[in-house]
Amino acid sequence: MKRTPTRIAAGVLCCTLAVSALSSCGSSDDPNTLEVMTGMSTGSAQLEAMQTLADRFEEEHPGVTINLLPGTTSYEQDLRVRLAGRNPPDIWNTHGWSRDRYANFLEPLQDRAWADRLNDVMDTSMRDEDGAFYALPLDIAVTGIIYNKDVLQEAGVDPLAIDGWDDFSDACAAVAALGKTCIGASGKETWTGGNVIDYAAPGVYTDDELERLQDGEFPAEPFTQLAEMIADWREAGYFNVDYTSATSDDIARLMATDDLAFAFQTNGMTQTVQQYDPDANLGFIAFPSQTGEPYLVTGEDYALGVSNTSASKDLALEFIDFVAQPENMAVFAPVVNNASAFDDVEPSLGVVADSYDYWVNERQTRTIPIFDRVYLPNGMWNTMTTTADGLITGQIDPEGATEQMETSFISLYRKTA
Amino acid sequence: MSTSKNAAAADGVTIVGRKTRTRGHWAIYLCLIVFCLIQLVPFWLAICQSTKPSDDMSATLIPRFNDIQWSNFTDAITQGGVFRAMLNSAIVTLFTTVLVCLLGAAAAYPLARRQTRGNKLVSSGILALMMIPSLSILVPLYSFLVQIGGVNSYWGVILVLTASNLPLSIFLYQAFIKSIPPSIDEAGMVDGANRFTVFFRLILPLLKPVTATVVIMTSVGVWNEYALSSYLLTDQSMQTIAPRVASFFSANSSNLGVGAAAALICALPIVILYLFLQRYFIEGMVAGSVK
Repeated sequence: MKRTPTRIAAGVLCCTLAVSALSSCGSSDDPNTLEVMTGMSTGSAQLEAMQTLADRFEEEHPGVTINLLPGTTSYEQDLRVRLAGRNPPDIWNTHGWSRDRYANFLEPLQDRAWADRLNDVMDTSMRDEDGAFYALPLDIAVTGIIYNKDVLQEAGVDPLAIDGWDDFSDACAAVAALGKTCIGASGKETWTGGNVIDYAAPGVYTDDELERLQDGEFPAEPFTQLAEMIADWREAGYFNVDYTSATSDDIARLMATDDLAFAFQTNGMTQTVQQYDPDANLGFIAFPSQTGEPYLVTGEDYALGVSNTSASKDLALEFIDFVAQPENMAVFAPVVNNASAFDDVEPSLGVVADSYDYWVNERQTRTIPIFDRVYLPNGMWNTMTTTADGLITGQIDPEGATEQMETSFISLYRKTA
Repeated sequence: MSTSKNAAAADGVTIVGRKTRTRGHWAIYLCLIVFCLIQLVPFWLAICQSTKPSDDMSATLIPRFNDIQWSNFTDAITQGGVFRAMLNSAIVTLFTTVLVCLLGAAAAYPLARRQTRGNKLVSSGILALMMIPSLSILVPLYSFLVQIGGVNSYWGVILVLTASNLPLSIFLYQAFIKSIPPSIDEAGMVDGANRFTVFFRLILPLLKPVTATVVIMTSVGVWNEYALSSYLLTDQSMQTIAPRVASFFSANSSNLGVGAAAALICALPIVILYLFLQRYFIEGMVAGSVK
């Protein structure tokens, strides 16, 4: 009668010991191991390029291990939890937010040897008032409206003749007449809708109004115009019918099958489209402006920042220096179809090379930084995505959208001012 | 005459009844077939997707059996490390289930037998714990695990999942133990057994039916767990199945074919296991409801 409790106690003890033993398989604070949160999916071309760089670094530094962590669709939340838990990775992909969101957690990099080689395009979006910046940009997003050349050709639209938003709406009408989708956006990944406002907004504000935004005043009328334009596109049926359930990947597939004309995304999307159709015929046009010349939006895309609390900070900085070398930057360039952050690194623009050449080199199109990061207070991005979502689904009217943006703007500006 | 009329009427009733029953059976079968199809759709979609290369834009519901993209499966194994993820899931599931059963039963016994005001309060507290979504305490939980070194370790995730599964198991065990006559305890104690001996020798063997329920509910839940594991297990070598498969899908790019192949590979052992042990699974699921 006495043996069973003893057996069970022994069983529990064995479990505990076994679990303790298994715990040795977990990660350690080994100063020779770098943990890098990439935000890139397993098997993606970007992660493979990063793996190549990690392998090269490990080869040059015997005993060092670079642990590349793939990202999921909840990359931002994953990162936030790690920062809130005071357990940041040694290095992470700052996905456009190195200064505005992560500056307090990152090591300044302006004194690194390679800092002088960076071109100044990124200054407005990555450097703070003191000239400090916090991440190594692996590329620069020079963004216009991505379009499918074959679809526009079939619709009889000359993309280079789109000079204003009215022209854009006319092009959409021609595409819709073919039974195809004009603008692709995803309700499941609301950043795709947020991009529509973020990229189009600079074209409805005058320079004076942009200054007023920076001073904490929200000029409502231009935003209402923009909201009305998006609402008109919705009413005309220009957005994809599966908006609510579509993912950003579905948008790429739609463009790959020549069923979609335009998307408000960075050139990185063209990589995804080509994954589905290597022969996809794509390009981009500059954003039309109601207040001036067309423009392209530039901003941080893939960038690596080093945690300022990392136990392996020196090694992490050494890895960043290593990646910044021209021959190593050249490994990443072909997998993003974007411009290079360094003048001495040849960009690999892939399928959008013609468009880049036309808009950047030939027409010398003006470039402006990403709207919300320069003109809106921190935290407005979420309001912007929900506002765009409301407009695209028809849950909010243009006046309501403006009111929502204005209320959030004033509230957040007071908090951050 | 009246007898034959009655017989004819009875025959008529029987025939009508039989027809009604037959129609009822058909309706049930139809519902079951529809239900089976709904259950099978995700598997079918995964099979279709895993057979295609990423640039195959053919209809989602049509597989590509003539030229299967086997590299999706090999990539899932080499790049995705799904076998390692399956091993991790098996370890986490095994230890969590054992701990949930042992601790759940041990905690439920005094709560069921001694219904003092304090114990009722504890029982209510445990019930209340079931209402708290795990993710609502994510940040403090994560911070605590970081401090004690439990992130990216088996023991860390096992303890967290054990804690999150315990309230339900205590509730189930408590309800079951209440249905066991206290005279069994008393008889054991008259024979000289102490409380521990009574629990381990007399009560625990009687808990087999509810234990089967707890084992199935816990193990299936832990095997499929994603929400907490995705934060607590970020190291690839430590990740369980769900976070590993999720890594094929990021905000900027996705690898649908390989992701589907990985999901299929990971589901296979459980499906095979279920086919062989389905009798026990079903018995276990319903056992707790019969006291």
